[in-house]
Amino acid sequence: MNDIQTIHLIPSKQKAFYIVFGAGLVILIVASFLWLDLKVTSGFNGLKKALMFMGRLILMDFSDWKSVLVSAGESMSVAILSTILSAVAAFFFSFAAAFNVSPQAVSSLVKGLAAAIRAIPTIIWTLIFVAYLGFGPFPGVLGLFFHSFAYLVKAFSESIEEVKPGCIEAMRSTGSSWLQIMARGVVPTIKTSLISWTAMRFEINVGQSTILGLVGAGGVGYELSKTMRIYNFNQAGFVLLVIFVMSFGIEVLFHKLKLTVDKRQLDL
Amino acid sequence: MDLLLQIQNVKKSYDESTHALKGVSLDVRQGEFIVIIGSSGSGKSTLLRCINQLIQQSGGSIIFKGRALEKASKNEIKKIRREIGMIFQHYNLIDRLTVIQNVLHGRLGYMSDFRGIFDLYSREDRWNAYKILERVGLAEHIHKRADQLSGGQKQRVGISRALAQNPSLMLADEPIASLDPVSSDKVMNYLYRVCHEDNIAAVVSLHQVDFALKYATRIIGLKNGLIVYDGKPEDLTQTLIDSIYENEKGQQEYDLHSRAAAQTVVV
Repeated sequence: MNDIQTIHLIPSKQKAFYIVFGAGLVILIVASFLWLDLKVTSGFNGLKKALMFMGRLILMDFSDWKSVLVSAGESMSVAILSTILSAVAAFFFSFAAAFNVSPQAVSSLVKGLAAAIRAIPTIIWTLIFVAYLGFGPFPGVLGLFFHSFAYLVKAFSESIEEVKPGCIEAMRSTGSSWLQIMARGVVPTIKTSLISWTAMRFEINVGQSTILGLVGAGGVGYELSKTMRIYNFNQAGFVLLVIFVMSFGIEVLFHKLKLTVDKRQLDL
Repeated sequence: MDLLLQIQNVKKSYDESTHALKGVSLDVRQGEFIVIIGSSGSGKSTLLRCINQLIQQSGGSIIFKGRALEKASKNEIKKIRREIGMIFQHYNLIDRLTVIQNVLHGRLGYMSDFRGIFDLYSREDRWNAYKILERVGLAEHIHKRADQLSGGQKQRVGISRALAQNPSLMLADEPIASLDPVSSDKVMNYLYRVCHEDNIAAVVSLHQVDFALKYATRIIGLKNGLIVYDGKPEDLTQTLIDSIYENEKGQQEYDLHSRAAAQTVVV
């Protein structure tokens, strides 16, 4: 009983990794602070200012509610259009991107392309289209479309790649063609995940569509930048409220929908 | 009996060091129910998949009804596959589709892309699929989703899908390895019966020697990519079985433990 030895729960290599990882995080945080020349005191001052500013936002000015709601509708339409169009386009491209149903070269090409598009944020895509097409919601639709498209190609193709190889093999063994295997084997299997990815992207797009106005793509974001520019924080407060209700409302709605689907075990 | 399939000196290597098949020759005649036995990695799955060209052999020739598969075009291969049904250890059904939809997948090879994509099966095909499900005792389950069935029921759907192809050859890759003994017996019974009644030749790989002895009209012993036994079940002695399942170190791989393990692999 006296010869008890210490038993380590994890390999020492793994322990060393955790230590290095933790130290790395600390170094990154400190380096970022130094780079930005942030001081703790200025942070407190900034916080005080922000709170005062918040106070002014809370005293909302509802007088311009009509045009705010119209532009909110515009943002929502931008989100709906860009999500649906990008989902349809991504659906077709995702088969070319999935390595288990597409030749390796094609798969790498489409995946690389999608990654390149994703590397550029939505707001920059929109900025590019605004510069090219002028102000208005249309460049917003295009900007959101490109980024959502690339995002959904990745998400959809990963769903396709999760289809069990045996299912595809079994359908090949019946003499089915590639198109038939995709339509009758792969699509039914990934249908629900396609829908949930699209719903998730729609939530993101609703949020994104509200800020695109800041770069001139219309919608409720444009109202926000207009009121902010003339320091009308009372009006800005109302615009922010509308944005919040819109994004939050969509999240709540989708959550409720998901619960109903789960509860009734509906098969989409 | 008519010659259906000729396998001539078929070899398959996945890379330079691993040779799954080292020259297998085998003729399959109509009415035969051939069971291939052998331990894991003996090449059973590879051999079955070469027969319908899910895997292309690296050497040798496979002739199905007089047509050399290695010389056939992609399109011809698809047409040939229609005549060869296949069932799998893990059933490989499309879980989210109904039983009857899964069975009708056996008809896709006979349809245009357009009709296949939109599920436009003919009235006759649907009726035949229903009759097949009736034969395997699943008539009342045609609208159940495939993932709601038990393992044994799933495999009967697998058999039905293969039957819907109207095949002249049936391949089965360890069809009962994931099933309990009672379901196993039932599935083997159905498989044997439909093949016998419809005059479909069968090549079945099995882990269970007792089932092989019960159903096979002929047994092939495969070991390290070579045929080490080809003959009647009556002639298969215990010594031969032991040597088939003996690995390079001279240990028996086929014992009660490996049998239990094979039966509990469930996905």
